Amino acid sequence: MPSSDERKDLRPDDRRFIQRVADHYTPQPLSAARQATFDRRLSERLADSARLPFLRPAGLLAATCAVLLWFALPSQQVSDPNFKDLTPRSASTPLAQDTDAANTQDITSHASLLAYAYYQSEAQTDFLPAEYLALADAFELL
Amino acid sequence: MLVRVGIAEMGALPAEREECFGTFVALQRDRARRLAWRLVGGDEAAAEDVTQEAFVRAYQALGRFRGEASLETWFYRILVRQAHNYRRWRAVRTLWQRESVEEPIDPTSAVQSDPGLRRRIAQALDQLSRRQREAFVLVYLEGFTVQECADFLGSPSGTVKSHLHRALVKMRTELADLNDETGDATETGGA
Repeated sequence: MPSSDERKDLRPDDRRFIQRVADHYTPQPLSAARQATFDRRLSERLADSARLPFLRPAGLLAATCAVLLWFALPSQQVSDPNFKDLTPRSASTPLAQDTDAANTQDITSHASLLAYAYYQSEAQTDFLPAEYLALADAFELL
Repeated sequence: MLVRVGIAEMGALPAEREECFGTFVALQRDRARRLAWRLVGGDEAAAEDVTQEAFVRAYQALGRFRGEASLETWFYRILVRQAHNYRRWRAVRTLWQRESVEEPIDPTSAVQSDPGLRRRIAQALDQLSRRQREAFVLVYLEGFTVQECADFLGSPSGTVKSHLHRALVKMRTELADLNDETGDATETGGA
């Protein structure tokens, strides 16, 4: 067990305590077979990383695109006038289309106002699903 | 103390560097694995994965290594960050799957000692803040100097000493039975 200079500066009881923790909290040394397995796996991973370096930026780009798409799609569906054409009540005249677009904006803004009012009036933490709250708590703790 | 491998020893040609990196892996493998095991909470498979990933990342970035710090300092900085990333991912996964917070410790992965006591030590380490835990493991359990630890964590030495002091107080409080030399710490462990 390595011993740093800092341990020597400790009181004897502190030193004994740390030594006991270190003795009890240590992994088994690797056997020859497991050492060989470790080395083989590491060699494979090193070879893979050296063989396909161009995949890393490509993967990063794909992940970025996926995230952007994820955030872009819902807002596009709400704001895209063509989105309404998929609904059964399709309008035939340009005037009706404009009216529908205005109505959609009104509904959207009313919904936003209602959501905002609810967010302000009710307990703010209840606004998020439990999973998100749990995740937020986890990051607070770390 | 660290076994120093400087940029000069790494060689200028890629082949020389690879050969020296192989030597570096052989020199640091056991210590890196033990450090990762302690940082991730006694999980053998996770420790091996974290260690290998740290070696791979160091290898990938070898071309950008300019030798401002020693190769060991650079590598252990990567390893500590990898271990932290693993812990963070495990915390999110645990909450997401509503699993028990207690991470099972592989009873065959540690030296012959009480599994309950090992779990309690892991839990006591969990109670520490990230920096306190890293400082405690690096300096007190692994024997790195405060300055080396400060280099790994990117913190001033004074801050590391402060973390060490607080970590030791908390650990002694959590594991009070280990303070008593004659006390039988293993019986109070409870699996």
